[in-house]
Amino acid sequence: MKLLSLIHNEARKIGRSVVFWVMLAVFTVLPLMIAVFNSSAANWEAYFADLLGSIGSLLVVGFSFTSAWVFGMEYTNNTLKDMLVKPVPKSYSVLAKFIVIALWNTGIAVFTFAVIAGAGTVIGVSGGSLSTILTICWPFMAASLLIMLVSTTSALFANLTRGYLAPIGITFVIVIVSNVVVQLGYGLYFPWTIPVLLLTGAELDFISMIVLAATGIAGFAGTVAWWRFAEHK
Amino acid sequence: MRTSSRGKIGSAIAIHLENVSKSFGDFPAVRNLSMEVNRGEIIGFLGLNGAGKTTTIKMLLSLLRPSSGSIHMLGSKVDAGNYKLWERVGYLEEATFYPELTVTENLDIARRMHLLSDRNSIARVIQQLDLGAHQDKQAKRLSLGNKQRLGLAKAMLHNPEVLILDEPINGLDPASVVEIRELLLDLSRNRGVTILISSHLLEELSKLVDRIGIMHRGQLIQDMKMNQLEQSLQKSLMLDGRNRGALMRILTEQGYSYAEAADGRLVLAEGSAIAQPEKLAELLVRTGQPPTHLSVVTEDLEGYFLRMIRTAGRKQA
Repeated sequence: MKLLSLIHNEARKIGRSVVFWVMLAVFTVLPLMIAVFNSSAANWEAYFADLLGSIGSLLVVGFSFTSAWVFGMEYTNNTLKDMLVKPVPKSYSVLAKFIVIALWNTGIAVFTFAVIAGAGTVIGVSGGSLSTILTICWPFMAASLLIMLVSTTSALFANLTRGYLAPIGITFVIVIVSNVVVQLGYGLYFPWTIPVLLLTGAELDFISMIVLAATGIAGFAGTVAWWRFAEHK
Repeated sequence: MRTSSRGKIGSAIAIHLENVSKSFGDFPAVRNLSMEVNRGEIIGFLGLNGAGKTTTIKMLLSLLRPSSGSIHMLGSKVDAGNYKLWERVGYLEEATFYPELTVTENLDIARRMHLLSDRNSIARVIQQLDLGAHQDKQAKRLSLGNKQRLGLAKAMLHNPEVLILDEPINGLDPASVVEIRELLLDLSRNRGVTILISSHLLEELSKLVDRIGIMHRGQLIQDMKMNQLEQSLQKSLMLDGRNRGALMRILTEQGYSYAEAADGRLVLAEGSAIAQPEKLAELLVRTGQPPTHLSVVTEDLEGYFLRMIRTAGRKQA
């Protein structure tokens, strides 16, 4: 009940914001553009294989933004104190935010997949069936979940820097570093490249899973600890 | 909830600060602050910018940890982990809100954060703070005064036993100031709500508070009841005549000491002159210099405040 009430609050803050509609527009236009550039694909497998690397990077940036914004806007609106001086455990407030971020990101992932699948149909990609598309959809959703996991660090950065602009900057740096890391062959050990490599068909090893889990836990636990122990001038 | 072992903290005392200090690096923002506020009392906090008022309020709200000392409120230790305490405390540190949401939605968010099931609490504070005409307006479109009212409504939503208000009447028009003053007086007098309020509007504060605390450079330099304050306000006798030179000569001859005010009038601070101004008037008439102006002036709160911080500044120097 307590948590549901907090989740309701967070969902309302997102649903009534301009950012919600901006994200919807961005995740309509950019996947469509990426799909159009890949319109020469011969069949659905080739079509998605061409797209998913770029879409994965887009999700990394998008999910980092949603995580950073949900926490960072409390600083830019000066409403963080309104959340801290309330009769609810701070861990509940943080958990409610992460749950709503996960729901928002899941919605974005499903919507993005629907956009590229719809674009493929309009473009006339041939040789597909519903089962082919679903076979591609599951790993896509799994990779999306892993991207959500590493995006908890953006929430932590938003808290540490008391706003959402710095983590967005950091995300763009991470995207650049990710390209270098993949080129050097260490992509399976860098948290932000692991989900994208999974999308492109790479096999994850145990260390990759440990790296992802450690990153997710660090982002979540660090955020809870910040809310509980940091001073707020 | 952690409860203090000291019984008195849990009874008549609503807020208790004991030797509280807070430093930021080498800068001491608050030094050895000790203070008790009784239940139902309204205490005003005065101080220049940087005096330590806001730091103290943030420590009261557990947003900052004291470097040393302890704070108890309503029998509980103030601590970031003691979240249950905020069921009984309301605050307005600055009027903050979610700009895209309406007044009602902002209040509903606060209601849910307070885990209040009673939705009527929103209608009640909207009515109390006279926000009815604006309840469906986005918070970002409110005037400064109404934003302040929204902040107060959020602070009062859960019928708190203690209200901590930092500059609550900033931006309000004169009619609203009176309205809010009456509301706060009603909360204190009729519902026993303890109110700690900081403000730069000294005269307004003097109409509201039972006690006044003056902070200067991190220290509480004065803490007294308003009736004591009235006795501490300096009185002086203002005197003027057609021939100021002659007036000064007569005063000197009769052993009165005086100073010249900026407008040239004479100011006498002596007790005998203030206690019996008619004798001085008689004397001046007898000596052929009847006064054109003679009045006993009581120092206002602003004058008292400035005198206190000047005195404290000299002592600290």
